[in-house]
Amino acid sequence: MSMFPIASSTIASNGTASVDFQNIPQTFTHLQIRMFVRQFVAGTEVSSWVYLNNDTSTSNYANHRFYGTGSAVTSEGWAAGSFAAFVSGQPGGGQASDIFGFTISDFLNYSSTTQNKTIRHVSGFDSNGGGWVYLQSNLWLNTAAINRITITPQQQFAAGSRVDLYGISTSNLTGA
Amino acid sequence: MPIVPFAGPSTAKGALVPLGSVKYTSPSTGVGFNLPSSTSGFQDLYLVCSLRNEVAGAGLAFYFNGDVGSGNYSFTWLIGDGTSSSTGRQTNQNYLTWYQTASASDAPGVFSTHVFHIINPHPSTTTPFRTVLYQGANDKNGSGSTFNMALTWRGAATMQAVTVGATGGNFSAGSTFNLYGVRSIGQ
Repeated sequence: MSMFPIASSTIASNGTASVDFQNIPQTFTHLQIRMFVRQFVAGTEVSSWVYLNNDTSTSNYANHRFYGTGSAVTSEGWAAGSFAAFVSGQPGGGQASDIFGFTISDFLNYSSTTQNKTIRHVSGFDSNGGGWVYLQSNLWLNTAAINRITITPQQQFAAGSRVDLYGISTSNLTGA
Repeated sequence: MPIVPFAGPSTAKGALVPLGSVKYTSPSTGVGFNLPSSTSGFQDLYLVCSLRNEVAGAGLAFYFNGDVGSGNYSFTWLIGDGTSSSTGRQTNQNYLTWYQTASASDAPGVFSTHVFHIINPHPSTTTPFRTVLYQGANDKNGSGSTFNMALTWRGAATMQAVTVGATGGNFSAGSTFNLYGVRSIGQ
């Protein structure tokens, strides 16, 4: 298995409304997005929408998440029709400006044209007195190959955030 | 965002670059990787350990740059033990101590897996702290745990070393420690 960088976005100033990866090559087996982010406007812990192929509907996505806050554990889920895909566990503008969180999102078999798509997320942050840790999944009820991924934060990305897209191949690539 | 065309398997740079690897042939106290200056060419670091402690119930200690006395670490975790799930937090710690590790109280040959995603190794004025996402698999055939943790190190110095040590005794022969750099576009 080899992993290759495809694209990267570093947020230079507060207020970025989304990161949009278009024309994603269909060369790989899986995709991974790695987000080192905080959001700018409000909230202590916030989420980002994950739109596939510019599908911003709620009807095509289902969501599950399992998380801890340091004092309570919650497991919850929503069938299609409630929300678009989202990932949580990102610090909002209510946190100190030096607190960033990290999210790893795996898009499995993204180029398949016969499978609905599953996204797996691991995310969290700690602010020395507060913190959230998540395991989360999304289901996209669509068999189209994913060629575009748009990450839209609830409260706009803050300066210093970055989002990187990687391709993961299971062929015999050297990756040197 | 611009997409960098895939250059093909013969010329494309892989994202994961091995930086260090240790496998114990006899018990020892832990591994400190001194990070070469070349780590400035990496977006993140990725540390994978397979561990067993020689002392029953002992765990691991994790820290950066030998910083073990300034209260710069805080962490929040989510854990399941096969029966129930729980969450907790520690603040102002001198380093991470964590006991969800295979040890001498477990059957021979049982090792636990520990995966550390070390984010933002190069601090800036905007992003001064280091974030770690840490996942573990600690199955003991009838007991054990699986967990996820977020850790912040509030040390603003350039990261020069990362250490995984035993909280008591030694890690067993067969324990492994593998450190990788994660490249981004242009690195």
